[in-house]
Parts: sequence; C-alpha cells; structure tokens
Amino acid sequence: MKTINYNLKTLFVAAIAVLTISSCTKDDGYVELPVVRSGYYILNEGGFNSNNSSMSYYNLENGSVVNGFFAQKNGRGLGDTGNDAQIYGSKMYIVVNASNTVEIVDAVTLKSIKQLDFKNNGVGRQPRYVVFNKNKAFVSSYDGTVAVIDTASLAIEKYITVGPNPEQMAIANNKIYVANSGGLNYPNYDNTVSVIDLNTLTEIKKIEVVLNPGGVTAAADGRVYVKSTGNYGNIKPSLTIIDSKTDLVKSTKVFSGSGMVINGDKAYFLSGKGIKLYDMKGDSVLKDNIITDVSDEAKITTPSGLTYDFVNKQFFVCDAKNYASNGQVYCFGQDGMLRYKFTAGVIPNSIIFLNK
Amino acid sequence: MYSKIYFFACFSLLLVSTQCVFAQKIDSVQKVKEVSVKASANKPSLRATQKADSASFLKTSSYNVADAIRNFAGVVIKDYGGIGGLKTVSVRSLSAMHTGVQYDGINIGEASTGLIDLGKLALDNVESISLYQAQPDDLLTNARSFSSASLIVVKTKLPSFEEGRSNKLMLKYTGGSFGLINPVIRYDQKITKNWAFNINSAWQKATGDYKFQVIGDGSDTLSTRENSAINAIQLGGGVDGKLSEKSSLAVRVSYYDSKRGLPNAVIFYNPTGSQKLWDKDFYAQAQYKQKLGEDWNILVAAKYSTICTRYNDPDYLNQQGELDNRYTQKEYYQSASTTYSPIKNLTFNYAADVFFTTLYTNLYQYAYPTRTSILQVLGGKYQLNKFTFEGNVLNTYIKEKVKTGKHSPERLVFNPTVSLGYQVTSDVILRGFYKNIFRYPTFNDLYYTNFGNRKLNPEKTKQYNLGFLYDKFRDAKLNWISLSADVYFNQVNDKIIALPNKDLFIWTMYNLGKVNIYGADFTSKFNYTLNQKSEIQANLNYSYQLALDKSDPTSSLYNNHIPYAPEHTIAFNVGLQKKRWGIFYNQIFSSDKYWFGENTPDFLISGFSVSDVSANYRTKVYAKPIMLSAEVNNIFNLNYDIVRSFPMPGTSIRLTLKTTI
Repeated sequence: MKTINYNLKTLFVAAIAVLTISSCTKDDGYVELPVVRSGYYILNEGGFNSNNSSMSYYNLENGSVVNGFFAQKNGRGLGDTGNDAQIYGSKMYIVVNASNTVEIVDAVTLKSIKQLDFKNNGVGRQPRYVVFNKNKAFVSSYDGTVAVIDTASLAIEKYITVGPNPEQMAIANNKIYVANSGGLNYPNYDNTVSVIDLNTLTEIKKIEVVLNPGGVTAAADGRVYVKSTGNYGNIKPSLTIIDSKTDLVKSTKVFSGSGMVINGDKAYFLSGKGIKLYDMKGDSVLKDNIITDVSDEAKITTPSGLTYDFVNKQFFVCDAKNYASNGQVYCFGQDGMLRYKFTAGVIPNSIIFLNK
Repeated sequence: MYSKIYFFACFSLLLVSTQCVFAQKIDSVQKVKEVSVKASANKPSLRATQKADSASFLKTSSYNVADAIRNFAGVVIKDYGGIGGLKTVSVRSLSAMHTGVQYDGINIGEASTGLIDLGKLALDNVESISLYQAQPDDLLTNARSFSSASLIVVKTKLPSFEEGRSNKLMLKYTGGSFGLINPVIRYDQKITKNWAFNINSAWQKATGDYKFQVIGDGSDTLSTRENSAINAIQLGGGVDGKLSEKSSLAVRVSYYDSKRGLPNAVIFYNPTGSQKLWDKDFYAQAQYKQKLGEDWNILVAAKYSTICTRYNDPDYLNQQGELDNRYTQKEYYQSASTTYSPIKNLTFNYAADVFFTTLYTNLYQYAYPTRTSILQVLGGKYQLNKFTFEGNVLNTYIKEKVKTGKHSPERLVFNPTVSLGYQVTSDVILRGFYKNIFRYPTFNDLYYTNFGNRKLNPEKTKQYNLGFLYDKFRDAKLNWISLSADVYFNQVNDKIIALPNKDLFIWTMYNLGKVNIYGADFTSKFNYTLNQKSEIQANLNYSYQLALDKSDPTSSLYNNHIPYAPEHTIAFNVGLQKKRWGIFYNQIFSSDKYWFGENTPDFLISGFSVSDVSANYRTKVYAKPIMLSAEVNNIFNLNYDIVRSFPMPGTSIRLTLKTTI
C-alpha cells in the first residue's frame, strides 16, 4: 500500500540547505559553505505483522553500512511498517504505520526522544506520512486526519479532519495538499485532495482529482502534482496538476510511475524497473528509463523507493527484491551507471540524508 | 445465545436418554472392548502409516486433532496459539494444503483457503487418527483419498454397548486454564439388533487470554494476549446399521457453530485488535457398504456440506467503520468405490468421485466460481511370496464456471502411485513408494478479487520414499518393539506464491516456486511389562527435514531453507500405565527455523522444547465407571512462538471428569 514521495524529502533537505546557506551569507560576510553529506539513513518498512521495520545507516565517509541501527541505539525495535521518515532540525520523525507511533529521534544518534502514540480510544489511527512547516509537523493518518505536532513541545496540538485514508502531503502557497485515497473503501475510492490553510489549520476545500490519489509533490513554481493509482480496472493511473494559486486543476493525464523527485525543472519517477525522466516545463516524459547500466549487478527486481541526492548528484533506488529477503539500495550516477549497491533491511522504502 | 442452544441440546438429550433408559429391553450385545494399542500392528503399511487412538490422546495431553498428531514423525503443526488459534498440519515439509483430511469416511472439502483448522476438530467422538503418506492402506475408499500427498484419516466412535444394555450415556466435563468450560454429552441407543444411533453435543467456551512476553519492544513485563475468547457448540448424530449380513449403512449429520476472537499478530506498541470470526459448518452424509460374494466389495457415499465463515474487523478505517467479509462454501459430493479380488493375493480397486463446489462471498466483483471435479482411481495390489506390489493411477478432471470474468482453464491430469513391500522376516518389512500428485489452486488463489490469478497451474509434488519397519511382539518383559525408519525425497514444482505485481500495490499469485525436500522419519515404540498390573509405554519419533528453496538460482534465497521448516523434530512420550491409573510425560522438541525466505539470524525463530505431563485415574462410583484426568501443558512455562508474532501460551492445566451411565 505504500506509496512514495521522495521529492518531499529532497525538497525538505533542499529547503534546509537553502536556509543554512542563506543564513551563512548574511551581512556578516561568511563565505557560502557547501552542504556536505555525512551519510544517509534507509527506512526499511519490514514485513507485514513482523515487527521488523528498521533503520539502516550508510556512512558516506567509509562506505560502511549498519543495519538495525534504531534497535541498536534504543534497545527495542522500531515496530511494524515504518512508512515515512524525515529530518527536521536536529530531529528525525519516523512514522510507523502498524505500530501506530511516530518516533521522534535525535537525527545524529538516533536515540528516541519521544514516542508519540497514534491511537484513538485504543484504535490505531494508522499514521502514514509527515511534512513540516514553521515548527509544526503534520502527520496524515488513515483515520482521515492530519495531526499537528509542535516541534518544540513534541505534543500533538490538533487533528485536522480531511478525507478518507489520506496518504502524502505537500506544501505550496501556505497550504497543505493532502491526497485522500479512500484506499480502505475499496472499491469506492476517494478522488479528492484536501487543502489545509496553514494559518487557520483547517481544511478549506477539496479539489477533485482522479480516483485513488496517493502521491503529492509541490514544485517550486507552486504547481502541485498529484499521482492517482486509479481502480486497477477501467480508471488508469493518472497525474493531475493543480495550480496552488487558484486551486484549480490545470491538467490531468494517464500516467504511470510512482514516487516523484524534483530536481530543477526535471522530475523523476520510479517506473517498472527504472527511472523515468520528466520535463516539468513541457509536462512530458523525456526518457522512459535513464538507467543505462545493463549489467546484472544493476538489475532491479522490485523497485520500492526513489530518492535523488542533489548534493552528490546521485539517484538512489530501493529494491524490495522478492519480499522474502532483505532489500537492496542501488546508487546510480547522472550517467545512469551503477555506482554501488548494498543490502539494507526488509523492504527499504526511503533514503533520508544526514548532513555534516 | 450459545449457552441457551447448548442447554436446550443437553436437555433434549437427557430427556431422550431417560425415556430410553425406561424403555430399554435388556438385550445381550457386544461387550465394551478396550482399544488395544497393539491392534495397529496387524498389517504393516507399505507407506509409513502412523496412528494414534483414543488411549494415546490421554498420554499425549491432546485436546484436539492437531494435538493428537503433533507427535507423529514428519509432522509440523503450524499453531497460531491459544484455544481458538488456527492449527494446520504440514507433512514432510509440504504445505498444509497438500494434507487431505478425511473425517468419518469422507474428505473435508475446503476449497476457499485450502486450510483445514485441525484445532476445530475435537477428540470426544474420535476413535483413531491415522496419517497416511501418499494414500490410505484400505483400498475400499473414495478416489479423493488418493488425491493428496498425505492423508489424515479421523475415525469416529461407533455406538457400543455393555452386555445387557441397549443404551449408553457418556458425560464428560473438561475445564481449566483460559477459562475453559467444555461439557460433552454423547448418547448411544440401540434401535434393533442391527441398528443403533447416537447423538452428541459439546460446548466449548473460553476467555482464551494468556500471558506472554513480548520480545524486542523494550518492555520487561508480561503482556496479555487478548481477544482470544471462543464460544463454540458442536451437535452431531449418526445412525449405523446392517441392512443384511453383507451390507451396512452409516449416516451422519454434524453442525458446528462458533464465534471467536482473532488475536492480531503481536504488533509492537499497538496491542489492539478486535477481529472476530464466525464459523457455521454443517454436513450430512451417508455411506453404504455392500459385499457381493467373496470377491466384490462396494462402497457408495454421498455428502452435502456447507462452510460459512464471517470475518469482521470493527477497527477497519473505512467509511462503514468495519470490514465484514462473508464466505459460504457448499459442496455436493458423491462417490462409488469397489474392490475385486479375482484370486487370492490379488485385489483391484476402482473408485469414482464427482463433486461440485461453490463459493459465495460478499467481496466486490467476485467471480462466484463453481467447480466440478471428477476423480477416478484405478489400481491394484498383488502379493507374490514376500513381495507386495501396489499401484494406481488417479485421473482428475476439473472444470470451473464463473459469473464474472474468465474461469480457470479446464484440467485433465493423470497421477500414478506405486508402492512396493518386501517381507524380509516375519518382523521386518522393507518398503518404498513413489507418488506424483498436485494441490489444485484454491478459490482464493484463483479468484480473490484483484489478487487471484485465474491462470494458475496446480502446485505439483513428487514423493519418493524408502524405509523399513521392524515390529515384534514377544513373550517377554519387553513385549512390544516397533521401529521404523524412512528416508524420502519430495519435490515441489510450480509452487504457488504471492508476489506484488508490477505496480506494487497489489499482490498476485504466481507459480514460481520450486522446493526440494530431503528427509528422514524415525519412529519407535516400546511396551515393557513391569508386572501383571503395570506397563511402561514409550515412544520416540525423530524427523529430519531439509527443505530447500530451488526456485531461482540467481536469487539470494536459492538453497535457503523454506520458511517454517525446522530441520530436527523430536517427539518423546513415556509413561507408566497401571490398571487404574497412568502417568505420562510428553516432550516435543523442534529446532530453529526461519520465518522468512532469507536465512539470516534476523529471520530465525528459536527452536523450542515443550513438556507436558498428564495423569489419568479410573474408578467406579455406584458401579459406574469414572475417569479423571489432569493435564499440565508446557510445564516449564516456556515462552515461545511457532508462528512469528503469534506467541504460544505458557503453563496451562486441564481437568477432565468422564463417566458412562
């Protein structure tokens, strides 16, 4: 069920980087310091009912990998079905879907600072994704809510009611766009995107898109890209573009590819066994697969995640393999050639970069 | 509601029985015969048959059919824990769907999931349970019995009466841990010299909760396994009789109704789960046997069965606020079989079964399949001096119809079985068999909305077995020794596995697996007479199973152990049986196993060694036999899992009081 929104992470890291850079270039005359990665985390979803969601860490300085990093640091497991993880400030927020928790950990040591419980009268809300804005974290949950967490007190301040079974969120024009999948109402999926006003923290409207929306990504110019899965039948997977200034749908087209990563005026999608290149100016697919490496080593079995590192200009593809073993992470260069790969945990689904 | 139904049933039973007591004519009939443990040794099997009878259920602290066969060599019980937890059996590392279950002469048809919950089958009415490899030993049986890699045959108790009596009332009460209440009544009544009927009912109620230790979530206190309650009633009846010297009829009806909580997998930090499961199973069947002269035997049978299941998850986050799935499976079954012995030492057998299976569900856009199965088996058995040859060919024809979409392709398959035995001495027999068979994809495999794959092929198996049996009765202190060893090789091709399809959202079934299984079963039984009144009985079974994934040589899983296949299993039972009482110790050891395709320490489930103790005592009160038994299961309070995330209970007790009036 997991859908992917890698660009959010990248965007966020980019945002942080921009903030850092801009703060360094203020009037005190600092020279612009480039962002340097010390490594990256891999969130492994784990098997269903298996309590083996985990965090791996790849150390970019020496190329070493530590699997089961969270359990090692905390003496307990992350839980079941880690669905999303993002760093905000000095903390990482890990959304653990089936355990109904959000683990807030120190981004460097991975020591848990707080485990937020996402149950409502004993029934799990099933948290899915997290985004941030101005010292607030927003967590979408399958119970049709977006929780607002204060990043200082780490307390849940509010639940904003949205549509059924929301998945990904993106922020544009001081609004949050939430994909209401209605995935658990099969076959009666939802077809709306909820718009939350970040000033009032309430849902102000719903925008109609194609059935079963899951992925939402905001481009720098304010366009919001919504990926719908359709109904696996007559309604095909589609891409809807919303203008966040007017909140009107600009275009809708049949489109396959999951996850969306934005890099300048280009976007990348995970498709089949490769990475699809998409031009955001012309809104068209430029290349069906940018992976040029045809060696057996570079063969991806079951792609389960895509991330772009704008610092080192590399693509990361997670591979769930056959779902009966640990997954792998592949690093590809701009040329589409495999740089390196390594074994992570069960069903790796996202890469979270850690800067020096 | 259940208690009301139950008490009404009990009340009616009592009413019937009292009337019958007054109405009875004192009529000399058969004497109650204690089942002899040694009876099974008469005809050595060509295919490593194992048997447990009602006497052994007490020794092995068995409460249901799954418990009773867990001591068998080559058997791995997949137990989800607790009284209401699903218990399925896999034999020689072939999945549970390759194990057929025959209850009271006719197979249980489970076409929806292919999984038969042996925990649902109580032992109160059971006379014996046999596990056959490849096929049953008795050739006068239906064709379906030849259609699985192994077959569990459960025989129920026939009505029996004490001399001078024409009725019998058995009352039994079991209670114990998990808040278990389990009264059982069975009434046997003679109608005429050759006819008798019985009615039986049982009520099982338990809160089911138990303590267990969560490993890995950082907690150090015990948690409670909740939502494990069960409330079930079972009502049954039968008529048995002889129409003539050479023909007999057996009619059975049975109804099982239960509601149980389905405790979720243990999920860290989220110990909730409120799913419920309702079962309503009914069957009515008749079997007619006729002997034609000395050479011919005929068996005709028919059965109608329904299996209704309802699954409800009130915490499901959809708009209805619950997930409510209903499944109704119906099967109309008929069979005719015959054996013919033209000369001594030669028997031919032929059987033909025709059955129709339908599945109704409330799933969206469901296919509503109807399956027609025609099975025919033709074979024979020939004994030449010290050699016994046995062979048959099973022909399976399956055709399906669906209301929406395409149906699965029509199938016509032939499968042979050959067995050979060589009597080395009067005590030693060498044996071997080969069988090639398949399990047909279940309705879920084929038609589950957005998940099933209608093009699936059957999952094929090949079995090769070589072994020997040494079985000796002696006129000495050690009066019975039975030893057997078998080595086998099983191969699974076109194994049905679920994998996500290309858009990753939906899993689909594929014929992608291949498994090689190398194994050995060793069984031993000893009876040692201490004196006229007491005997030591012991048995030790050992199984070695190496089940390796051979699906894809380029995969990291290649040559890894398949999930849930422990390499070593030991079952040990020893006890002292005196005339009035007995005490037994049972031990099951299972080595480490993997719960995942990849064999790294992360995916290991530690082995376990669980010990049970049971004691029974027989006496008479007002000339009525009373039996008391007490069982302590898992005496060392071991915290263990058989299925990952589904913990097993710690120490539990069960007390039973049984009398016959």
